[in-house]
Amino acid sequence: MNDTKLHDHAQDIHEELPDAADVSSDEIQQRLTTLVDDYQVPLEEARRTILSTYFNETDTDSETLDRDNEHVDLNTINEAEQWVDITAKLVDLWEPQNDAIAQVGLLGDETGTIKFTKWAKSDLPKLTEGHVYTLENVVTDEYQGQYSVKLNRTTNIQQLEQTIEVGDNTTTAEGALIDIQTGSGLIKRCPNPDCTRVLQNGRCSEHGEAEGDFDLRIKAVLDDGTTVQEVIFDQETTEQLTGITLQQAQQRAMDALDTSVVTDDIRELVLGNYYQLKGPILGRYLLVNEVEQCETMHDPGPLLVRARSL
Amino acid sequence: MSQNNAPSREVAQRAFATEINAATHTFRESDDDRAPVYGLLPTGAKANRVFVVGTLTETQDVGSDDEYWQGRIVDPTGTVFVYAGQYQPEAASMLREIETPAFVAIVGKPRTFETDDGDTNVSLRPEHLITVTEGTRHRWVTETAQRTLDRIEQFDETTNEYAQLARNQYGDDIGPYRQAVITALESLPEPADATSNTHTEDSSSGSPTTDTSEETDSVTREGETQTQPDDDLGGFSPDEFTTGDQ
Repeated sequence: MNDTKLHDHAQDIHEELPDAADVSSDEIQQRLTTLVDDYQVPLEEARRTILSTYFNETDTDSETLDRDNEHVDLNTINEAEQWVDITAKLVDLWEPQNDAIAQVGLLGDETGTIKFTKWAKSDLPKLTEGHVYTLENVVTDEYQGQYSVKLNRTTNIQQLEQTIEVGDNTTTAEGALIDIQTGSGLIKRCPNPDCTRVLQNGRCSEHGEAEGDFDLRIKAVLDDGTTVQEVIFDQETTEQLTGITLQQAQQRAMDALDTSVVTDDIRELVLGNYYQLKGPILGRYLLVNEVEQCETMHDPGPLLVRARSL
Repeated sequence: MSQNNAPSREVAQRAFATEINAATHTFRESDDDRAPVYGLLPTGAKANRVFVVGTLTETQDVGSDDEYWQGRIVDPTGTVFVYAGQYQPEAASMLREIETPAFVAIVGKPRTFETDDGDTNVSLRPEHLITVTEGTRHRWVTETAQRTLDRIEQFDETTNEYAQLARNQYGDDIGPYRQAVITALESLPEPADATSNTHTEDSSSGSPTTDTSEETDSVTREGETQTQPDDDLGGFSPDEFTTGDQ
C-alpha cells in the first residue's frame, strides 16, 4: 500500500480519536504501516485494531464516538440493531412499566411514528411532550415485526425550535377478503398486566395456565388481484365489520359449548366481500382502524373505452 | 431481511370464465415436491389461486361412494366448474345445502383434468365458497375487467415472461379475452351512481397501443355483435335473480 494512502487513513483515524488519546497522526501511520505492510492485515481490520488500542488506553468507549450515522425518516426504519440519527417530535409519553425505563413513548416525524425507550441508566435529559428533538446515535430494535428506537448513554439529544407535522402512517388497502386465518374469532388473552398474549389451550406461553380474558379479533387476507395484504381487526373493528359484539360472541360460544361457532359466523359474514381498510402497517399486518365495505362497482364506461381502444 | 423464510402467499388472480377454462397448461417453478402448481392464463399470468364471483346455477353430487359435489358457476362470459369433496368439507356442505341460483364467491385453485376424449378441462378446487350480494358480484366483474385489461396491455412487453410462455402454449391471439371483457362490461346494469365509487382507477390513459391494434380492433368489432356467451347461459340475466340470503 502506498504511503499517501496510509497517510490519509492515519489522518482519518486521528480525527476519529478523542483528544484524550494524545497521539499524533504520524504515530498512527507508523502502526498502520506495520500492520498493513509488515503483517498483511487488511486495512479495515488494521483500522479497527488501532482504534480499539487507543480507546483502551484512554479508557473511552468506542461507542461514545460520533459515528457517521445515517439520518433517517421514521418510516424507513425496517431493520433492528441499526445506529441512526432521527429528528422527531415527542408525540406521546407512556407510563414506564419498569424501573429500568426512564421514559417510553411515541416519536413522530412527517413520515410516521415509532416507539422509543430511554433507559434509566443512560442518564439522559428528560424529554418533553410536544417538543422536537434531533436524536443522534439511537439504536433500532424490533419486536414481533414492530420497530422501535432505543436511546442510550451515547445518544446526543438536541431540542429544536421547529415544529413537525407528524404524519400518520395510515395505509389504505382495498380488495376482496379472501381468507380468514387461524386465531380469529373469540380468543382468550393472558390476564397478567402487560401480557396480552393469546392463550393456546388455556395456557400463556409466558405465564402458564390462566383463566384468560375474552377478546374478539380477525386475522384475514385482503387481496386485490395483484397484491396480498394480511390484516388484523381488533375487537372494535371486528364488531363493526361483523355486527357481532364480544358479548354476543361469548353467548354464542357458551350456547354451543364451542368457540369455533363464532369463527364460522364471521367467515360467513365477511368472506368474499370487498372492503376498503385503513390503518398503520406493523410488520406483515395492517392494523385496521377503519372499515368500509365496497359494494359499488367501478364505472364500466371508462373500462369499456379502454377495452375497445386496445 | 429475515422475511424471506416463509413463502409468501400466492395472489388470487382475477379472470373471467372464458380465460380460466382456456388455461389448460399447468407448470411448476421448482422441482420441490411441494412447489405450487400454476395454471397459465392465456393473457400472460400464472395462477396458483383465483377469485371468482358468479352465479351458482346448479349443484350435483357426482361422487360414487363418497360425496363429491360439482357446482356450475356462471359469469358473463361462460361457466366454470367447481368440485368439492371430503377434503373441502366447508365448500362441499355449502354446495349440498345452497339453494340455486345464488351469487357466490369462490377462492380456489385451478386444476386440470383430461376427459375421455383427450381434451383438457379446467376446474376449481375451492378453498372457500360463500354466498355474496349482487353488488359484490358486479364489483367483481368490473375488477376482473380491469385486471384482464392490465394483462392484455402488458402482453407485448418483452420482459413479460408469462406472456412469452402463454404465447408459446396458446398462440398470441388474445382477442377473445379482450372480447370477454367487453361482453362482461356490457352485461352490467347502468351504474346507479358511478361517482360513489370509493376507488377510481386511472383507466383511460396510459394504455399502450400496439401496431396491430387497429387490425385486431376491426376483427373483434365484427365479432362483437355475434359473440354470445357459452350456450349454457342462453338468455341468462343476473338481474332476474335475487341475491343470496345474506
